[in-house]
Parts: sequence; structure tokens; C-alpha cells
Amino acid sequence: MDFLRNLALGFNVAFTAQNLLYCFLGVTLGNLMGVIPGVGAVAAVSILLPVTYYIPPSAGLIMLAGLYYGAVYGAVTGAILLNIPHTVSAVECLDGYPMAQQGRAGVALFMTTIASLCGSIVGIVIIAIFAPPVAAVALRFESPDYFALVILGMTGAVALARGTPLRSFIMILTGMLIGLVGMDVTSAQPRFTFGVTQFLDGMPVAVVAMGLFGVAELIAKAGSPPTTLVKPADITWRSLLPTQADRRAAWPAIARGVCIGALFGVLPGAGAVLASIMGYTFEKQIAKDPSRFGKGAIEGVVAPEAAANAACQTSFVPTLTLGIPTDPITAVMLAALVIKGISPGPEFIRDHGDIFWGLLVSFLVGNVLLVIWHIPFIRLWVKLLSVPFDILFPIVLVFICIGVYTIHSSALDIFLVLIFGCVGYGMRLLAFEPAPLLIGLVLGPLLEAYLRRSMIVAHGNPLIFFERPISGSILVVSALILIWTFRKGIIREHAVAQA
Amino acid sequence: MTQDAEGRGTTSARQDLIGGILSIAFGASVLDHALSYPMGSALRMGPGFFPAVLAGLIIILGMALTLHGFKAQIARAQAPIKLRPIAAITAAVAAFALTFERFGFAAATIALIVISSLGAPHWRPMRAAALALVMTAAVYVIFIAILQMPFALLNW
Repeated sequence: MDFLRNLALGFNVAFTAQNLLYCFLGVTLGNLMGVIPGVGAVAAVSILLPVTYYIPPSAGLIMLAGLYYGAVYGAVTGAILLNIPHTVSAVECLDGYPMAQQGRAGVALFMTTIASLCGSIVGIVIIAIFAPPVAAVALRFESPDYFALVILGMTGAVALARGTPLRSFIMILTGMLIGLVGMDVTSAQPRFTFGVTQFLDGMPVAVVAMGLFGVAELIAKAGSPPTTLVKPADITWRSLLPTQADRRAAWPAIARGVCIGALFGVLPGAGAVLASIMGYTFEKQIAKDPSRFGKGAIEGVVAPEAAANAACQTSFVPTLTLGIPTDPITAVMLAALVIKGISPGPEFIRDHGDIFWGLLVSFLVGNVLLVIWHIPFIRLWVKLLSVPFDILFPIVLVFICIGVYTIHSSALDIFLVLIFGCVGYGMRLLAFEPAPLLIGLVLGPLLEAYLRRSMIVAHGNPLIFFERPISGSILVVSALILIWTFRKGIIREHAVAQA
Repeated sequence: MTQDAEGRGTTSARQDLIGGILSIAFGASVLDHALSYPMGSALRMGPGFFPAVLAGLIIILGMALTLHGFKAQIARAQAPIKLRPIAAITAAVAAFALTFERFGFAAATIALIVISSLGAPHWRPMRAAALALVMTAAVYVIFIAILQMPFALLNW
């Protein structure tokens, strides 16, 4: 009966007026940011991170999470109607846009909404079932085991990131080096602070994220000539209804997408982006007639969308039970919790059951809200797509600047976000992905703390990591993943070189 | 960067060379700094140990990337560097940072919008002015009226 009691607790928390309001705000803004091209979910979450300083932790977390899955829902709209690839919805363009060109945009939008809902609900059920036992097991973990888990998280980020493994590795290290700025916890020695007092607290994750994902993206997009705005086809009520053939093709694809997404969501470093790509690739591989893909196959739209949403939910399992983020967005959310003085980890569900179960129930509320936003109000979002980017980017810039300022009430942070924005633009030109950097920034300080603690426990004997069964096996898995990644990378390059 | 079906990119030799050399330089400057902190022992690691290891690793990986750049055969067209948006956005954000505390957020928001809108390929002054006014009002409503943040509207 524990489960029912927890669920009741969750309903109590999620259905307070304040939490409902922040859930609504989160999913609506997330959806908005998802629809608008050029602002990713990471930027959206970091812009609103400072707002969470002023509200209770449960409301803050509910809002940030709402932004995350709201943006995943919203992103698909632009992909289908205007062929705008978003990070989370790049593959939905491949078949969604052809569907829109064939006058079937309504069906695509309707079916992706259903797919998103299915993905999310399965994801939520998985969190409810698996998170508490994972946390219970993790309570027995000690420093060396956490060290191994952080290594696994980083290996996952290297293996699953876009771009070559070598570059992802360099980005993780760069992030870890940025994470060194601040007071060394063990010896109280200031490191890399260059005499700036504010740097003693470390480099705020939100500033780095807003710079690398927000400002850099705006610089890259602002200069591009206005895209020839295809006027999105008018979406009528009738056009939303799928035919029987659509439904027959879509349901199994949704089910497969959900499974793939749920699995990839839990993997460290994968997140919704990779899940949607895998969902698409899988559909194409098992299709009887793969040549239909890219020409408006409904499976190619619903499967990745279901996968992205399922992954988006299940990524909260490692984030909340182990304190290991799976992608940049969950990394920023962890930072939000830490600012509130809550350390995410195995004790989180036990000590903050109200926040955990409240968050879970808010996922349900948020998903229902999103379906309402997407089916009766779809035309509103379609209109938004025709707002030109030269109006949008100054608006986003205002929110980034004010958001950054509110972190410490310091103008220095605004310059920092600018510097990270320019660095991020440079990284983009040199084909370095910012996502692993952010994961390194969050995980780096943890890695160092666990390493130093383990060494003290083991009297300086590094073999402790392999003698303990938990850390030993996790490290072996990490090593295997790493070897596999680099071999695959080399094989791929040979293939490219020969092509 | 071009992308294949899985969204993974192939990179050009130039991107590898520049990226590799920058990584080495970054690692070397961190290493130089890290060596000035106490190293400690394996049992009690000092504050310099972990940074030095990371810096060493990034130097090695930077070398690998540089080498890869020398060997790479695949050169692809690269997106041109866009100076106009960089200049406009940099100037706009810097102007915001410098004016926000001294002159209040209204002045800062207007400066930010007007200057950053110069980054678009075609500047539309009327549109920028209208947007600046709307955004100032929006910032007032959201951050001061609703969230009650202690910002000054105007400070002369």
C-alpha cells in the first residue's frame, strides 16, 4: 500500500494551486520555446532557472521539468510544418515535412501528439516503478562506487554524443576544467579564480548553459537571411483525423518508439535527442519498404516522437536517484536542486518524497495540458511560426541577460554569458558539441570529490575501484563502452574516407 | 559540419587542426596554473592533483586531434564566420551589462534591443523601436510587477 500512499502524496503536492500554476507555466513556456526556432530546451531551462530561486523547490522543479517535456512536444510543430530541425526533433523533419507538403500536416500533428502522450505516460509509469528500488540499491553505494558511476556517465556522454568520440572527450574535459573554478572543497584553496571573489563559488552552470546554448545559437541564427517563410497550411479540424491506414501503421510504431525511448532515456549521456534518432533508424530498418521513408511515412514521425518523450521522462530515473544527469537539461535541473540545498541522490526519494511524487504527478498533469494545447489550440502555435527571427532573437536576448543578472545580481555574469556565447559560437564553427561540456561541468566536481574521498578510505591504493564488486563492474562496463565507441568511430571514418 | 543520417558529423582537416591546437593551448595554460597548487600524495591529494591530470589528458587528446587533422583527407565546405551578428550581439549584451545598474533596466533593455537588432541582415529601425518599447513594458510586468525583483526602472 506504500505505492498508493505515495501516489496520494504526489496528488496532494501536485494539485496545490501554486504547483498547478508553475506546471502550467512550465509546459506552456516550454512548448513556446520548442515551437520557436532557435531557442532550445537547454536555453529555456537555463533562462528560467533563476526564477526557481524565488519559489519553493517542488514548484521550481515542476516548472523546469515542464519546460523540458513541453519543449519536446513543441519542437515537432516546426519540424512538420516548416522543416525546421530542432535538436530534439531533427528526424521528425524527414517524414513530417513531406506529410505537410502532401496536405497531411494535420494528421502528422495529431498523431505526434498522441505519440508524445503515450511515450510520456509509459515513461512516468517506469519512473514510478523503477526509481524507488534503484534508489534503495544505491543507498549502499560508497565513494568508489559513485566515482565509477560518474565515469560511466561521462563514458555514456562520449559514446552517445553527436560528433566524433575524440571531440566529445575533449569537450567533457573542457567542462571539467571549467568546473574546477572556485574554492577547492577539501583544502579551501581557491583555484583558477584569478582573484575574482565571485568565482570562489564556482562557475554557475546556468551561465555556461545560457552562453553555449542560448547566445551562441542566437549568433549563429541571427545573421542568416530570413528563411523564405512558407505559409503553414491552414489546419482545419477535419484534417486532424487520421485515416484507418494511418492508425494501423502508427500504433505499432508508437509502441516500438516508446520501448526504445524508455531504454535510451535511462542511459547516461543519451537523452531525448538520441532516443528520437534511434527510434527513426529502427523504424526504417524494420520497414517492409524502407523507400517510403523520407516521403511522408507516418511511422517515421510517430516513432521518434514517442521515443523522445519516453526518454525525456525516464531520464529522471538516473538524475533523481543517483544524482547523475543524462543530458545537459537534467544537468541544469540538478544544479537547480543543489542551489536549493537539496542533494539529488539515493536519499532524495526517501527524504524529499513529497517533491519526488509531486513531480511525478505533475508530469501527468503537464502532459494532459500539452495535449489540450496541441489539439484544440494547434492553430495558435502555427501562427507563432510565422514570426520572423529578427524579432525573436532580441526578445530572447533580453530574457537571457535579465535571467543571468538575477543569479548573483552581478553585471559580471552578463559579461560571462557573453564570453561563453562567443566561445560557443567558435566551438560550433570548429564542430565541437556543447552538450558533453555541460555534462563535464556538472560531473567534474563530483568526480574529483569521490576520487579524493575514495583515496582517503583506501589509504591511497587505487586498486580499491576494482576490488569493490559494484565499482569494479561499472568500470569494466565503462571501459567496454569506450573501446566500442572508439572502434566504431574509426570504422566510420574509414567508411567516410572511402566514400 | 555536415551530418549523416544519425546526426553525427564529419569534420574538415582545418577544423581538426585549429581545434586540436586550441585544446593543447588551453590544456597547457591550465597545467601551468595547476602546477602552482600543492600536489599532495595519493592518499591525501592536494588541490593541484586533479587539475593537473585533466590538463595533461586534454593536451594528449588535443595532440591526437591535431594529428588527425594532418592525416585527414576529407575537407568540406565550412560555414563562413558571421561577423555582423557577433559584433551586434556582443555590443548589445555589453551595453546591457554596463547600463543596467547605472541607468536602470528600461535604458538597458532599449539599448540591448536596438543594438542587437543590427545583427539581422536587414535593419528595420521602426520595428526595433517598437520592439524595444514592447519589451520594456513586458520586462516591467514580468520581473517587477509579478516576480517583484528589485530592479530600478530608470536611474538618472
